[in-house]
Amino acid sequence: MEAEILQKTIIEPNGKNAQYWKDIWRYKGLAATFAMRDITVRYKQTVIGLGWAVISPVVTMLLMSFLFGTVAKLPSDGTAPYQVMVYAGLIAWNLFARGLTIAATTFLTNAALLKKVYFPRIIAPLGQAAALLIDTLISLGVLFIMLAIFKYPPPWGRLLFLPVFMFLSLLLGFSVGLVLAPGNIKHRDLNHILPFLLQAGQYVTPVVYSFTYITSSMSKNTAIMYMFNPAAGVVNAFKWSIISSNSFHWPSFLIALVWIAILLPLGILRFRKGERTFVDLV
Amino acid sequence: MGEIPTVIKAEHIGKKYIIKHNRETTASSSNLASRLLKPFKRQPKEDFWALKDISFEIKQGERVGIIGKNGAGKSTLLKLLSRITEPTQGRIELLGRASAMLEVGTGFNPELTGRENVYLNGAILGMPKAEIDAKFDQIVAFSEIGKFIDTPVKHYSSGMYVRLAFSVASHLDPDILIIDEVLAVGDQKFRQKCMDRMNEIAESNKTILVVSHQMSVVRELCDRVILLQDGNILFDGDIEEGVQKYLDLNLNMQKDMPRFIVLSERIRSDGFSQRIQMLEFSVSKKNDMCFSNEEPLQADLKWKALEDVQNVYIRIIFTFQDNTTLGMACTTEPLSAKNNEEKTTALNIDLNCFASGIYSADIYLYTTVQTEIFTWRPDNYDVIDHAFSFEINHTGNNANNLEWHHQGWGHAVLPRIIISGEHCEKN
Repeated sequence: MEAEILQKTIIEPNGKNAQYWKDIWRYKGLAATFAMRDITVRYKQTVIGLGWAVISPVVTMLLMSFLFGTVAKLPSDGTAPYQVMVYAGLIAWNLFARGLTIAATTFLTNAALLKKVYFPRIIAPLGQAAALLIDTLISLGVLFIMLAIFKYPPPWGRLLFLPVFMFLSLLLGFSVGLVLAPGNIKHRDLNHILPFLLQAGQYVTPVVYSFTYITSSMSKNTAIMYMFNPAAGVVNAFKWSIISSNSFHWPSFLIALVWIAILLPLGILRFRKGERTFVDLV
Repeated sequence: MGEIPTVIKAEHIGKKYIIKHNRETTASSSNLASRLLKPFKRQPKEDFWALKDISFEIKQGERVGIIGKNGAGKSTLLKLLSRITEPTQGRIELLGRASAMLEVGTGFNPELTGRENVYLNGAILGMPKAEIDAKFDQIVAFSEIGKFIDTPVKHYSSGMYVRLAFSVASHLDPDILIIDEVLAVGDQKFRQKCMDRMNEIAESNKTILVVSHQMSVVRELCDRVILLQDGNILFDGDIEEGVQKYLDLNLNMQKDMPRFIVLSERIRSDGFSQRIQMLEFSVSKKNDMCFSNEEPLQADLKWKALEDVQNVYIRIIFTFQDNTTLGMACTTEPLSAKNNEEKTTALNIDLNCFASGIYSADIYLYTTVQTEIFTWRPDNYDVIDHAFSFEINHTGNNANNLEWHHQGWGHAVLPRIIISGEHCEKN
């Protein structure tokens, strides 16, 4: 018998695992399968299938545009139709908020699976996040239809950055979620607080109103504080890549990058610590 | 050909759990509300070592059964080997791809079709997509699902569901396969098919670890056993010796077989509404609980009605020491009692058909009720598992003085066969 090269696994306390990243790479197919499962299951039992991915943000967009644009008469980003600006904001915000929720609640939503079979724990939320990206593509399609209807051409050159900012919105939310995830194992309070926090968060982020308008109507100190909201920078940057009359705001965007640089490594560390013990605690 | 490699090497592994002693230990007791009310209340904690300093080595191609009583640490060991949770101390080295079947149908989604679930479940168990593609037809054929493969599994019967789930799992092709009593699935025919399949895997030079309570399964699949007791390895080696040690363990537990047992304090399981309380069980006219099968077991069962009851029967289920059921015997005369009335019922249990060995008995007090489809089912008034145990020394000669072979013959000695005539065909 020739010497086959068998992969060696060493199991030790305190999560020492030299193959951690290699393992994640090996299980990438599982992440794709989880993503497929999420998409298939989500739309399988509904009459209009993928249509739901369109309807709910469109309804939110119509409501918000009516309240903030028509009733409150807030200005949009330059000449952009208010609806377009709101819808772009919602897409970026949804990536952030849902990415955050997926990562923060993964130990609970996947508990049954995680207790019965091993795979790198982060694979499950990664798969769900991938499904979220696919969902978002549909919303993007709607956004382009809206641009056509309003005869408001996008800034073609900047569109190249669109995938980058989409990814950053998701990555930021995901990082925050990873930081929160271990806190959700022993005490479930976070599960109840999260929806409120996200709802509040949406209003201190330039989602349904213009970033330029809101910062210019604040005192200088308040505006600076506002920019420290990590989501503000990425949401506005996303709007910039698709709305020609939006002006890019470097300070808030750089602040967001710093947030990611801090939260992502911290989140991974926290998540790895949590994944080691959660089976014994859930 | 070189030396056979060691594929599992466990060195001094231990696993500690922290148990919180809290009367209302539910999910809600650790929430914010109760902590707001009693913020400084410390829950008393206690360390519990489910595994204590275990070491063993398993070579490639070995088929190891892990046995032991509930709580001995078997499941914990499996969880460590399959990386679901990590050890508190020690180190495990695995060589090759390991897959664990701790449950059939892990991650099955009811909304998805059989086909989609095969891919999902396969991926979860660690099969690459190409491998599932290649084995898909085999998996479907084995499961006997046929044309229903494109139906959502929520429409499957439970039998179809486990067949498909087992099929996927059994087509895994790891170097080390870890199995937890998943064999008890489906009907008799499918179980046999599962056993055959497991044997097939076992013979293909794979390393297999099986956790089971069923000694017959262990005997059929394994060539070595590790016997765990209270988190320690009690025995590691030859299968027959290990199984015997396991049976002895149960025996030792039951060595102390009292003739007088207070039942009123015993913990009842859920699932029935108690209308009678069994108080005492006592064996009369005897000094021990060791019977020859020719004498009956005579006992008094004292019980109290918690409301007016009538048409009450007693049934007793007898279990052999290896946890297999021998059979059930019941009374046929209806009993009745007024609320709060205490009665003592004298029982005479025929032991004629018991083979030598140690048995334990579950006592049920029940009445019969008719179902919608005019069959009868029991409605339990009181149930006590393992109410009493006793030993049988078979003296009857229905087996030509052979030592009883429980493994192959079961635990009941059936009435002997009478030869009713004989004649010669040819001289």
